Amino acid sequence: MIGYVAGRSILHRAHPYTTLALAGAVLLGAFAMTRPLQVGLLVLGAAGFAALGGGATLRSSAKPALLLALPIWVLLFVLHGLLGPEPRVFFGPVRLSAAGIATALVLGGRVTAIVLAFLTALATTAPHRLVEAMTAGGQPFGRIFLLSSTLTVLPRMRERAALILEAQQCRGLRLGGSPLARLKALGPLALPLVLGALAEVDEQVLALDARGAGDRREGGEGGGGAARRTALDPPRDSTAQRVVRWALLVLVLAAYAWKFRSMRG
Amino acid sequence: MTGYAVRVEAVRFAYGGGEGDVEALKGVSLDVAAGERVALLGPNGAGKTTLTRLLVALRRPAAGRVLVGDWDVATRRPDEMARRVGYVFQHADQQLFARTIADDVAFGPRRLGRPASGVAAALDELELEAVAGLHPYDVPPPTRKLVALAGVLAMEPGLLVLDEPTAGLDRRERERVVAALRRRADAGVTVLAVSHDLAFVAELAERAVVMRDGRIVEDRAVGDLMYDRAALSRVGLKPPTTVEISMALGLAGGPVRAAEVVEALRGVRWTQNAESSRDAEQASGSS
Ligand SMILES: Nc1ncnc2c1ncn2[C@@H]1O[C@H](COP(=O)(O)OP(=O)(O)O)[C@@H](O)[C@H]1O
Ligand SMILES: [Mg+2]
Repeated sequence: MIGYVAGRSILHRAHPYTTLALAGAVLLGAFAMTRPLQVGLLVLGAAGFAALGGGATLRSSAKPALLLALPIWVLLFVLHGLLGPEPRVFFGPVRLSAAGIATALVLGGRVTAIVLAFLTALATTAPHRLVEAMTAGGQPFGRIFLLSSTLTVLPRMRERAALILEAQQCRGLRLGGSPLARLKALGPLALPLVLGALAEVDEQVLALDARGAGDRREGGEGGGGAARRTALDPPRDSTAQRVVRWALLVLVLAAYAWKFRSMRG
Repeated sequence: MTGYAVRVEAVRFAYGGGEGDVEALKGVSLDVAAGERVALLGPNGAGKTTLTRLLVALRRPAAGRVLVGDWDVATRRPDEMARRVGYVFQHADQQLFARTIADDVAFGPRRLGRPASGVAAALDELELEAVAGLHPYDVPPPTRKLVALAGVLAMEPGLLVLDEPTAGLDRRERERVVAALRRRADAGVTVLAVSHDLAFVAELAERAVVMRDGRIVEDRAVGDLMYDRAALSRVGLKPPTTVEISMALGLAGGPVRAAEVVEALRGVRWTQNAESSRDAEQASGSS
């Protein structure tokens, strides 16, 4: 299942910004890579990133990433392989476009790497730690709320779905044991799940507003300036992690510089 | 309606099932007689919710046995338990799913093949008729909580298990809940309610079971526990206001329910000092 998975891996312990920087580097890097070999390296990098999350998180990063990427791969190969330009090469009984295959590899690799990196970041970044880090970093409340509620919407819907199903069972609904039967039972719940999630977000905003967390509020007890919320327990950052983040930025810039140079040359 | 007795025998339960897991119940035994009204108290994380979930077969004990009437819960599914137990979840306001409140309340009775008359009665008891045609998410969370309770009352179960049924409710709503539950109890239904709300417990229950850290640490009459400030503070609770007043005035008979305290206050002769007796005379003279 997609979403945060508690754990103690190096990614779980890292500052949330570091994890996000790694995922961001894969995303930006993907569009700098234009050849199958480069994209292959990128996929390897993303796989390494996912592996840092540890075994338990791989189930909610690598598995869904592959499931998501597989149909895209098939589609890409069919499209570009069959419709791509000449010359063609034999793959078993079929003749496919060589350039088309290369394009499919590049596009498929990009998608795989991006999805994998994104799901890994999602699985290893505890939403509350990200909120703490952003609060400590002085980010505006609206941005924090938007990001954290987006990160947690899937797990919250999952919890709510489980809750409704349990409550229905306790009111006499017989659930078949198979996952398919459970999935079927979820069908009619789509609307209440969305409505419930919306109502919840509404109530959270109201509650936070009531506590004076809204960024519309100006001034404060300290006198002058916008009221600054204090992070309770901000995740620890380190020089090493800052160096890693800067290095990633340089790496991405270098990749783009290389790309544009080779495009001109 | 006959109530069901509950028997919990040396039950253990851990979340996760592997090593280093949270042991939520560390050997809990509890007997509740049919028709009894029991409050389950204790700090957060004590294991109260876990215990209630075992009663409806949503979880299975790792050791020990749970009986509801003559049914061993281990051999039943939650939808079978629904014939005997009405369970109101801790976050009951999040469990509604039907298009209208009336539909949601009718879900249980329909599944169980019970008469729809219980639906109207439950809506009426909790004063929900006015909103019965609305979508569950068009009413505020406390009302949704009442709707969830109505949905369970409408099933007419012999055992009611309620996990913090009054959390978030205002006083009037809480009074409606108390009235509805006492009516069931008077008809013989067994009631087991998890709560932090001692004013509610005082009105509802006759017996209080206190849990802490996966174990039962107190099991005594509500009237007794409410006057034991030390025992309450050990689990982070305080006597309700009515009992505070009764303690301060040294009212006879240890009244617990608000109505009992009022009754006891009527019997007090206001002679502590001249001023208070003069006030009392003026009050009686002017009325
Ligand atoms: N789904 C769960 N997974 C893991 N641990 C849980 C889960 N639910 C409860 N616990 C843990 O079990 C213990 C008892 O919880 P609970 O029964 O909810 O207590 P209470 O209802 O008294 O607050 C707590 O330590 C809690 O953290
Ligand atoms: Mg609980």
